[in-house]
Amino acid sequence: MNGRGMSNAKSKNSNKHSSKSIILNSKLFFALLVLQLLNLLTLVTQFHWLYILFASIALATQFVVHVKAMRQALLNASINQTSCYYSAPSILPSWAILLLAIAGSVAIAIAGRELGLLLSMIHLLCFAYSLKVFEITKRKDLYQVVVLGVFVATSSLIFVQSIYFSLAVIVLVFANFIILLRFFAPSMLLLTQIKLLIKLSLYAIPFAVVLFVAFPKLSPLWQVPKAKAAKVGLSDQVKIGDIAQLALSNELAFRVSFENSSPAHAQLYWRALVLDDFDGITWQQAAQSNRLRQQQGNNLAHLSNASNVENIVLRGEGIAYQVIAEPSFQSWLFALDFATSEQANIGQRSDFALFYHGIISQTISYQVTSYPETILAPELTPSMRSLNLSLNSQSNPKLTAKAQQLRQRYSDDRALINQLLTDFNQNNYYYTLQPPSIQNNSLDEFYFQTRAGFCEHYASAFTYLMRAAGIPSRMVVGYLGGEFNPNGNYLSVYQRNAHAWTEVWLPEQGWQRVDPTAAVDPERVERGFSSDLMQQYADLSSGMFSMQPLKTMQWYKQLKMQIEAIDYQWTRWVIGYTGQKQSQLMKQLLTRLTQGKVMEYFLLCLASVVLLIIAYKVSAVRGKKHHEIKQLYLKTLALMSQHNVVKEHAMTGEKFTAFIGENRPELLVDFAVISDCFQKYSYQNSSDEHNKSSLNHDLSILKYHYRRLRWHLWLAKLGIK
Amino acid sequence: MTNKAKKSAFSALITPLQAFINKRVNVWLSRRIPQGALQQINYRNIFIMPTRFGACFVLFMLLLFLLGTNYQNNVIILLSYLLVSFFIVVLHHSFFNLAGLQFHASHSLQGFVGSSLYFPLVVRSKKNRFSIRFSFEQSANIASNKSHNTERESKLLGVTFEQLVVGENQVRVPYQVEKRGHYPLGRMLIISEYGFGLFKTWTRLDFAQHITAYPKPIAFAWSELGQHASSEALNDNVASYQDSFQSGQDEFHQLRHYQLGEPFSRVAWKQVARGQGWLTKQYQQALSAKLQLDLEHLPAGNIEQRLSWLSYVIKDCNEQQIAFSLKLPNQSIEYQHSAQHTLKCLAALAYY
Repeated sequence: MNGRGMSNAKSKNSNKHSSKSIILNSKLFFALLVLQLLNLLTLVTQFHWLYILFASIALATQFVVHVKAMRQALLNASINQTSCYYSAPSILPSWAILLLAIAGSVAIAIAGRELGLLLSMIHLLCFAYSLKVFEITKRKDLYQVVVLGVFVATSSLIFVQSIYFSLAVIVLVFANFIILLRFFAPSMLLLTQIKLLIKLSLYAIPFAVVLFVAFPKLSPLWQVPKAKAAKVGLSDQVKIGDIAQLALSNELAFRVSFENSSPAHAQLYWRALVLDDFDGITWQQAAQSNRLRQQQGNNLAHLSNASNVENIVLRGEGIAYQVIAEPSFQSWLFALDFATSEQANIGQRSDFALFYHGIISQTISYQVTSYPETILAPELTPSMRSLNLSLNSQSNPKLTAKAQQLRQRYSDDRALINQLLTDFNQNNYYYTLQPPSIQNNSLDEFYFQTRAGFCEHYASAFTYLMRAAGIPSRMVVGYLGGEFNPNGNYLSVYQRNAHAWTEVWLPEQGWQRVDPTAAVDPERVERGFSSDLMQQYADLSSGMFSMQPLKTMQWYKQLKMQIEAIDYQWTRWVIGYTGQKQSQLMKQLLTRLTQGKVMEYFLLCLASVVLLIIAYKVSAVRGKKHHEIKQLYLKTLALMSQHNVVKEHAMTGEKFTAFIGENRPELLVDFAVISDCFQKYSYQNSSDEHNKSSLNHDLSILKYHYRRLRWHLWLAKLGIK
Repeated sequence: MTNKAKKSAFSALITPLQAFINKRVNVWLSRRIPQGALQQINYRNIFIMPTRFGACFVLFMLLLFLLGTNYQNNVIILLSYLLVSFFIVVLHHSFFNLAGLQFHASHSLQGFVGSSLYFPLVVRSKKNRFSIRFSFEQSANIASNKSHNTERESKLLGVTFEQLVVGENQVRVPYQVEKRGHYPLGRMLIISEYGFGLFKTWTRLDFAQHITAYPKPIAFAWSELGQHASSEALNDNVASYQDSFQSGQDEFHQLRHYQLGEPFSRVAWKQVARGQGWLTKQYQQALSAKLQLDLEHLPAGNIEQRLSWLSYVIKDCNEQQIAFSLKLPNQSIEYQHSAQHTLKCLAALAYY
């Protein structure tokens, strides 16, 4: 409830100092309003419509009031035409603001259930910000407004972290400081101020980068409310038609960069989750296996774990890659089979899918090594077997019959599967984004009558047939392929790449991937979208986007790719710069330092240290010479005071010289030289360079005069003239 | 009661400690920034500290860092680093706003206690500088003494320059004269929060200049002496004493009730006309016809009071262009009338 506290504190202040408030330039007030608008705009998609209404009314009111106040001030002081000064007009009395603050806080508390904790807190923050601008009576209020503004702008980064948005927010954060600059240097031109601010911010970059790269990345210190949003992408309950729906979405799902060359398109089956329970309509994760998953939920996806587990036989070489997943507000991750990851926040299910400990509410990056030749589960436990054979046989009696018929014909599982795939390929099955509607999600109807469907139709029917034929099988959903961006050398996988396929279990070979879609529309698997599908896709989306002709233009594609590539690098190196990567980088640096070139680095360091010491000494010596002259001067004064020629504190050097001239003329010559030289050096501009030799020369002369002075003094003391 | 006792014990402990620390600081300062009429400020004599806002800003950056860490949000973490870095850059920027300024102060100050003076200072700069405030350290004392209108007082006692231009700037720093005497002006505080209010940059310079503070001119309140006449009449006294000095007449002394046999020329007709009764002007028989001001001959009062009366008379005489001589126990100044003479006399009072 910091919003309420803040506004309370505010009103107290204003009561105390209501009599006098700071007088500010009108431009400053308008800068405040503009920046408030911009700061709030960064979060506009997150706001409740009521708050948007409130904030815009508040802003509009302030704008009108300030325009009036400025006109008034201009009338009063007609001399200065360009800018005028006035104290902030009090738009609302402080009791009204207090009342508003309390009412607003209560409203936010009530709306809290709907908004969620994070959004409620952000609403409170922004609400306090909106109210704060009503009361600018002291300099402290300006400070608070700036800090609040920076905080509001920054908090928008919780929701979006793409490069352009991030850069815009960073620029905006620094722009907030213009308010303070305007306050402290109102006479400076706005352009100069902007230039100065840009200069200072640019100076700030190198050290920030060093900090970012080198300062240890900490793991979260405590739980924070995460951003909540509608789930995006695949869901854990797939009905027929769901994936076809998803295939219309152009949203980015995740991006991958392979360390070496990327595998062929047809190998890029990104496993997201395994659905093994079919109730006749919906595929979902079985409750039974869910429990099993939860028990094993803490299993990390480490390679060492994988090699210990009995149901995996690791084979072949690993493919290493980095995945950057967009926020899906779900927990599953995407990887090729069989995936291992050394990251602590990534787990692996018993069905070999990776998952994230928590909800992916912002872009995350993870490192995976996959072993595609691995045999998954050479042995199947009886419970798993029965789970993957269970069938609600009433739902599709025709398919069941077909499967049993096939089973009688082919005793070999492989042969049976091949026969089914050949059927798909040759019996006029049609792969389409717009399948004709089928009654009750009946697979029978699809398989025997409509014969047109999207991947989940085929996968669904195929899995059903397998189970009916007594071959353990399950549906896997995920993504297929991706679009390669040559500018950034990475693969983008969009929601439209969503795919469903089947996994069948064969003795000795374990779980095998079978994609019936490949039999129907091989192009889809080989290259992504077949030309046929592309046409459909264009037809479907042209209604929604009038930009379609633009999208087909080559330069537009190029530009888009370039922009996306930049965003990808940003995501990879800035957003995806995890603690793990940091330690890797440091290790690399260290090994590079220790490899062979140790001597060179050592010599380099030594040389720079020596140079630094020399530079320091040179400057110290120069300073010291100055110092010596001063020392000598002070010594002279001390000596003279011993002989009762005291320089009073109030006397300047010149006065004292004159004093000596009157009283002890025999000392005058020597003292005048010392005093003059001291004055010359102590009041000399430090930027004036003077060579060392002249300084040394002066010093030796001074020493000579000092000795003479001492001699004279002794003589005087002994009474010798 | 106990609380009060504790408080007093506490303050008894604290005050000497504070005094001690102040003394040490001053000694250190006089070594660190020696006095001089011409000064240039650089890294050796500029102090810089975060303001309260600066300290809060550090906390705010920490908050952002925690936010970024807890959300594992690298962009927020990056932003917090950028702000940290910006903070450090602003530190330098604030420093350079003061560094390199040259000051030249060649004038001492003279003035009456209680008056506000302006100390002229020439500030030379090679670039534009912003939001610099000049004030004498005494302002802090005054502000703490008169806690009622602290801020107003300190506002009066400093001068803030929104911008110092390239070249020479004439700065007039207000100075409130507090006590009589001849003493050093003390250190001048030159402070700026320019930049973003994150840092205060300051220096305390001693320009080795003195102030000669003349006693506060106070009109002699004759009524305090318990003279016979009514107070209104006595007010007129002053006027008549002024009249009487026009041509080197005898020194006017007092008004007395008319006594039979006194010459009519001495009657104070003004008072008679007002119906205040018959009064006569009494003149002292001065040794010469010249006005001599003598501390010893003043009515009883403490020394400061008497000096103040003298100060008033001298000031008055200067305005009326009346010649006078001044006699103090330790010195005497001859009969004359000129601006220098007046200043000399006032200085004698200040030094006394």
